[in-house]
Amino acid sequence: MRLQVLFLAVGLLCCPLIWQVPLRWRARVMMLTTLVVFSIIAPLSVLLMLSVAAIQWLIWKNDYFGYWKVGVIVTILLPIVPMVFYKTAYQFHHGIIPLGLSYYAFRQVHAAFECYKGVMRKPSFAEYGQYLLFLPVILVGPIHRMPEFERSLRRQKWNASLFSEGLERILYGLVKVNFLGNFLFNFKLTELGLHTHHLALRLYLEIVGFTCNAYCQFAGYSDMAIGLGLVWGIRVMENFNAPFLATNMQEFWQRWHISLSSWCRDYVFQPLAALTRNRWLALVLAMLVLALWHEISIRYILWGSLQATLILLTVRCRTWMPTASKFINYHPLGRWVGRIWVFHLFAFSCVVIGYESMGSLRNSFNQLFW
Amino acid sequence: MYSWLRKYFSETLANLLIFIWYLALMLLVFYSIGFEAARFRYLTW
Repeated sequence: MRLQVLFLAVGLLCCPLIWQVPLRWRARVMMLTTLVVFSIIAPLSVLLMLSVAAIQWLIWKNDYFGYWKVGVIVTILLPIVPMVFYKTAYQFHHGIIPLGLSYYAFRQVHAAFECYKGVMRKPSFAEYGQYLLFLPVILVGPIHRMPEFERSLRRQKWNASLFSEGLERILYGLVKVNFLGNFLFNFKLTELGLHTHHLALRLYLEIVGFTCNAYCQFAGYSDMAIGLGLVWGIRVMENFNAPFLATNMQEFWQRWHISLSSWCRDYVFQPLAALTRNRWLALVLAMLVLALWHEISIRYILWGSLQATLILLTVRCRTWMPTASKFINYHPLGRWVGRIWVFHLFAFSCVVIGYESMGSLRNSFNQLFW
Repeated sequence: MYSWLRKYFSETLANLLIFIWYLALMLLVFYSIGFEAARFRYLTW
């Protein structure tokens, strides 16, 4: 994550160069800047990304979709296989994971799906490279979409207002990560917990600190990425929309890590719901994909299943308890009750991923509730 | 922010202020690369 700040510094330094070159060269300069920086820091990752992209592009270019649409399956599975391989291998050997793999793999799957559906025209290799090698979002997302990126690229022109908006977003990001996340929720709240003699209260503070810190880190780095994008004249999709103001879990997942949850909705939930005609099964599988994207492990499978169950219960409660549901969703006081409820539901579900082993997780729950 | 600056200052001055802000932010970003190390020193002091 610290690398994102380094990328941010490089991005800001390169900014005058990007705005000095003529428009027709600007996208290529942006791509080359990213390629040089990324190749120095993570050559294996660049090699992997470009090899997969080249194979995908060759299949699109030659229109080789074949009988049974083998080409489509290959272009979709090709980015997934290395991701699953490296993430599974990491669980057993604690080796290396190519930098930014999870993000660019999902971008490549998105491009493959959109090309297959015909929503997006087949890109040239340079256009595809420009989309994949976009410095602001390459490390920590958002998983931006190619049609929006291309539109933004075509409209790119100097705008002082957009530039200052970008600087503002970068400042918000720095404050969220360094002050709110690292200092307040990670350091000060933990210190406060250590001075508490009540064990359950200490654990509660730890859980609240972990959740708030996770939000500040994710949202802060996303702010930096969106801000640097704006400074470069490209508007990238939002990733967080005040998730802790959500009044139910369904709304929460429309506000938290929007680019990932909308990816799972478009490329896992919708196809599976159409194929199986069972939206609950599609939801569970989509939430599992969302969880396993973070890490392939038992604790994330548990976390994903838990999130799916919470969304299912939220939807079911509308028919089981219509009065309570209306109170929480529409009454001003009820909305605040809902917000506190959602925050605690999410925070306690995150305990599952906060602990390395199941034994320490069980101990913590015992100390908290019994 | 830029529209707020334009309310009170001329376009040239507003652009100059934005440029100064850009330089200041770049300094802050470079400084913040060392934040983690600074916190570690504080904790172990």
